[in-house]
Amino acid sequence: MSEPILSIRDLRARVGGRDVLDGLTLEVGAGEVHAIMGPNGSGKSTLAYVLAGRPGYEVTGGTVSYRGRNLLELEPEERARAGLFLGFQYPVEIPGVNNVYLLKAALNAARKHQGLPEVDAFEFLALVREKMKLMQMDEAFLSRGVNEGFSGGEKKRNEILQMLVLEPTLALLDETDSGLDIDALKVVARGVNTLRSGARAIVLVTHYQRLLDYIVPDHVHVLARGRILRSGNRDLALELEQRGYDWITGAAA
Amino acid sequence: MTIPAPRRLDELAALPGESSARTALLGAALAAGLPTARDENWKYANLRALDRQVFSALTAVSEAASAAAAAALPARLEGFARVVFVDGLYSAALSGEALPAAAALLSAAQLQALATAEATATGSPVSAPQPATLRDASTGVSVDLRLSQINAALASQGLRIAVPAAGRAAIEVVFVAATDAAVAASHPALQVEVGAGATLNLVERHLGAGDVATFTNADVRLHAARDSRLQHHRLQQLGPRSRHFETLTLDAGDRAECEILSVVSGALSARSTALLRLSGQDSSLAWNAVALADRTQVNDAFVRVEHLGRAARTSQLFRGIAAGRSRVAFNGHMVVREGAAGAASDQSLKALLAGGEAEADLRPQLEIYIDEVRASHGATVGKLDPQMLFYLLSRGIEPATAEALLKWAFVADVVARIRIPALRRQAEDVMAAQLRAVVDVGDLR
Repeated sequence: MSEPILSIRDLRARVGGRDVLDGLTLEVGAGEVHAIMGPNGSGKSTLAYVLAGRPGYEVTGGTVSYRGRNLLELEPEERARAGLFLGFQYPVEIPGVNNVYLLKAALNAARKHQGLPEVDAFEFLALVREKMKLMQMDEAFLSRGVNEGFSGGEKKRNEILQMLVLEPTLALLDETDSGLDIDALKVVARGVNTLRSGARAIVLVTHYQRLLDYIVPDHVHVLARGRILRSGNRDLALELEQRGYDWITGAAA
Repeated sequence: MTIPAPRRLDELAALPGESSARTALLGAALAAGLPTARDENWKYANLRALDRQVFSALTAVSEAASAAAAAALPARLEGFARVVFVDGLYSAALSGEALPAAAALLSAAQLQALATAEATATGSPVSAPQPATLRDASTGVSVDLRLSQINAALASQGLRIAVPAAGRAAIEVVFVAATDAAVAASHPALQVEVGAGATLNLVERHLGAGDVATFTNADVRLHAARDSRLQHHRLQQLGPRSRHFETLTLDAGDRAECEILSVVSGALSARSTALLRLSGQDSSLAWNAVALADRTQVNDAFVRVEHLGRAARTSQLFRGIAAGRSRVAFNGHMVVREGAAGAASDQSLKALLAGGEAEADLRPQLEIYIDEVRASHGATVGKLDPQMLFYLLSRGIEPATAEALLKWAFVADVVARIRIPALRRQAEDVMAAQLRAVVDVGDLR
């Protein structure tokens, strides 16, 4: 087997003085889609933030290897340029910073890292327009401030748009489905599915099974009390939908 | 060319052979005393600059100063007549064209005579054309106008712009400070009259020529007659070692619409005093200001807006960024007098602390004497939002760039109000440099 894209061993992390991740182990191979499910407060978002390098999320133990490198040594921006993308659960509004500017700056940061020249302005616009069409976003969004005045659904689409433009190696999508109606969910899922390829991996963090009807995962994990209590295939998600989380979290107690 | 000996204020007042008008004006100002940190509206200003400061002005500009000033001039604005002053003296060569029809030069004697006439007319020792509310019983004239008085006494030359009734004009006035403060001070003087129903598009710049430690004391008097429109853009980009004081007064008549937008990024220490009156019914004022300070800069502004006429409207928007060890202060004082029923006033003051030792002081004040008023105000001082910062980092943006972007975003809503596109780009370039941004400004527009 080729080297996994992401390999997490016995990861422990602390946020605000509280131990949230407590020995989490997970391996994500190229081409795979993993879903991490779990009850509220189980550590799902913490895992996403720790991987993205958010300040205040202190790793107290374990290792994370990303494409053979020690991910935890990298600054957040270095992780991003190395192909790690976090789709935020609550994308922040940044009035005054133009959406299209951020897209271009982000893309050029990644290209520079890869030793590529800056993207041609016309090619860039063509690329963005194509991806926006896919995400059913109006071009007017481009000239607005980042997420400024966007609805919840528009913000999530914008996250996926950024992901499609950046084409990350590893996409971590934190509750990308929350707050979406069924039509928006389908659009977001279609966007994510276009990114599926043998060279990439996607980790979906979600509370509900519903998203997995549209983005079918290869592996499903149940995260509770900071560690993965059970892993399975797609059927595990369906079973969770029927039985809730208690039968797993209770069994482990 | 002879350069007059540099002289301090007390020396100037005692100087034999000076014009009696000047001596009287200066004497009155000095008797009343310069502002000190004990004066209510001067707490945040850097007043050390006034101590032992040379106040005497040049009577002629050297070729070297003129050449340095020429190099400092930005590109011309299309549709605007340009009038350039170097160290307070008109430069025909740098203006590059005849004075526009609406503009005329004022000599030192004329400036002094005007100030003296005002003083005589109002019965106080010396005064600028201000209402009784700006006087206090003990000193005759508010201390806030002291530097304006000194300007009137010492300015070598001034510019008067008078747009006739129903006329239109677009004029850019550039004041370049080029001479070291140890040699002479510069007293830019600008008097503006926008006639009834007239429109004036005015750009006022204060620039430094090279890295010279200059001292300026500017005085700008605006009068917008009934039904007139005044659009006034002000850019202060003096050199990093310069000290700048300015006094700006406005009186707006019935239905006059005034917009004043300032971008202040220069000078080691800058103090701006604005005393603005809405005398007319249904008159309006939009005061928009951006202040950027870094290193050890001190940037202090006091803005008083006084509603006298019925149903007048004011909006005040201030965005300041204090980086490094700098200090940014904005004291916004709204006064609504009896008789100003139906007044509407919105005030939004925000400052960003972008340095560990930076300081920001926002002081919104409302002083209202009647009931029928709508007034809102808000003032916030904060740091860069860590969530926004992380969002940008998570997209691969360099930390320095991310910070610059957020600072940029902080002032964007005011900068977007610069109505002259070419001027907006110039202001953006200056701000980008100030924010030490690795930001491609072109894309941000």
